[in-house]
Amino acid sequence: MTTTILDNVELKIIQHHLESVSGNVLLCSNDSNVINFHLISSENLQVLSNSDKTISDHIDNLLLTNSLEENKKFDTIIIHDLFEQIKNPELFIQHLNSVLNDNGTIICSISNFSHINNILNLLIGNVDNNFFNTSRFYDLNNFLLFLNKNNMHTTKLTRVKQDFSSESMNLDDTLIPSQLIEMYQQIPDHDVTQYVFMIGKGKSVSSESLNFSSQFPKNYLLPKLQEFFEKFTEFKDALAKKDKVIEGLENSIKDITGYSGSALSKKDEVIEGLEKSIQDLTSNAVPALAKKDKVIEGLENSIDEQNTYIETALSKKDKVIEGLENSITEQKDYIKNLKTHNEQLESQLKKFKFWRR
Amino acid sequence: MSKIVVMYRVKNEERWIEQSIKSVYDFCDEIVVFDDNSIDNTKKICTQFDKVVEIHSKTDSTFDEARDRNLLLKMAVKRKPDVLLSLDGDEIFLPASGKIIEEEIDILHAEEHVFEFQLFTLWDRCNQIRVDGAFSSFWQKRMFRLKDQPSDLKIIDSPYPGNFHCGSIPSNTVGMNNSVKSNAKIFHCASFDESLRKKKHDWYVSRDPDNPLTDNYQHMLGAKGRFSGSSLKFETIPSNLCYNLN
Repeated sequence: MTTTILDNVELKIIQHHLESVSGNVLLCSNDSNVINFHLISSENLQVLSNSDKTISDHIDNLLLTNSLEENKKFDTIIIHDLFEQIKNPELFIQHLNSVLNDNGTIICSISNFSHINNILNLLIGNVDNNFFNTSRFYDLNNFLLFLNKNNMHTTKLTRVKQDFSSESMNLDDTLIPSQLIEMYQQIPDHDVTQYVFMIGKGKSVSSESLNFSSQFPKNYLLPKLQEFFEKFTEFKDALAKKDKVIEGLENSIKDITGYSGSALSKKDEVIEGLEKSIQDLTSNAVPALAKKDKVIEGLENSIDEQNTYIETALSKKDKVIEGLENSITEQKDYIKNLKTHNEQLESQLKKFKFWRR
Repeated sequence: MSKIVVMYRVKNEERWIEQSIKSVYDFCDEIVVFDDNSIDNTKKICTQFDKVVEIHSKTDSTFDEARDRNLLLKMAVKRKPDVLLSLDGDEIFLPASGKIIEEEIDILHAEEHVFEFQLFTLWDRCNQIRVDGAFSSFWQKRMFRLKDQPSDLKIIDSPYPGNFHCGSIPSNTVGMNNSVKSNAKIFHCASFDESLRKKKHDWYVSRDPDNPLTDNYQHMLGAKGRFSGSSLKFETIPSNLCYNLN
């Protein structure tokens, strides 16, 4: 695998290392870009690559045959973009270990089999992917075991990361559940495409302890899947309960619908009866109203007549009253005249009485 | 090298505590202990180790695991560690675990925050672990890096009586969801003898009866309940990775 990011990170590590050490360098790589990269003066650099047929493809053959000078030792050995292709890595690393100075360093890059893209490619059956064309697959744990078995240990570890993108993988969103992807993204190093190991001689940890530990798989994804399925089962049970509730409600609705249907049909009958009753009442009411109208008309005429009669009578009364008033006035005048005459008579009488005395 | 502080919560652990402290002694820098009213020699044994820098003796008789663990956490944080490791008095790291842990903290996972360990349940013999059902893959988050952590680290209450099963490290620790599984393993001795198993089972059932989440702790006694296999299954530990615990 050759990517720009990887090359940059790896080359930076190699460059940084070579700046602080001196001595012979052995570069094992099939990548012409790296081979041609001027890391060190050519007099101290020896290159092994399959293009020169210096690394054997055959397990049974010696791996670095006749390519190295006898008794020549190296301070730095760089294994770039190659290790996964080696068919007998134990022999290969042992051979390199034998030509490494005691305080020397091997810089080795390893593609991470557990990168999320590889796992998803396996899940969707995309095993034609370039990654799967290598001879061996490594992840952090099995490479550490490999080093330990071969009496070596890691002195520094750098990770080259690449975030997951469904677009770059051409993944259909419906193909892999997003929950599964999210679960895998919680696993440490899911985004690590490449580990760059700096390796020294000797074990750091006893092999027995590591070998025993390795019998117990770490199962990063399974516990998360277990959690997922436990939640799924909870939801399933909850759904089953809801379904029962819904079924009960549906039955209840059916009962209510049946009851409502008969109740409605009874109501319809009542309404029909009432409508008929209204019709009957209407048919009786119309002639009654016509009669009433006539009665009212008669009464109105009668009232008019009464009004006319009253008006005439009143007018006559007014005249009688007027006549009476005139008569009263005349009577008053007559009485007044009588009073006047009486007064005159009384005066004459008084005079007469005087004169008679 | 990172400064590692181990925090122990102990109660009557005289049978295991010496071996437990010895198993962390080489790779830890300091040890703090929270003693929950032990009436045996647990405290005396702890004081014999020079790396035990503080022992807090609980005087309160009420049981509240989260409260006690938070107090222990405060004791440990005071020591200004780079890495905190939580262990119970009946838990013992397998031989040579120190080298594995140091390498994981400083070289292999120098940027990761939380580490979990597989617990091997010792059963009847020093070289026999139970591996059926949930016992085959029993992992717990026990170690975390203090760098980049929030200032209010806290172990929160659990839904169980007395807050047991509350977890050994704070639930708000950065990295809880993507913890690294360590290659170092821990022996768990609490189920070593049948009498211990029965005592532990009775203790849990009396405080947390008829809990469907734990299936009433039947798995503690044998191949019973949904956390067990259909029958008991064991694995033998190589003799050079065993301790004499009889």
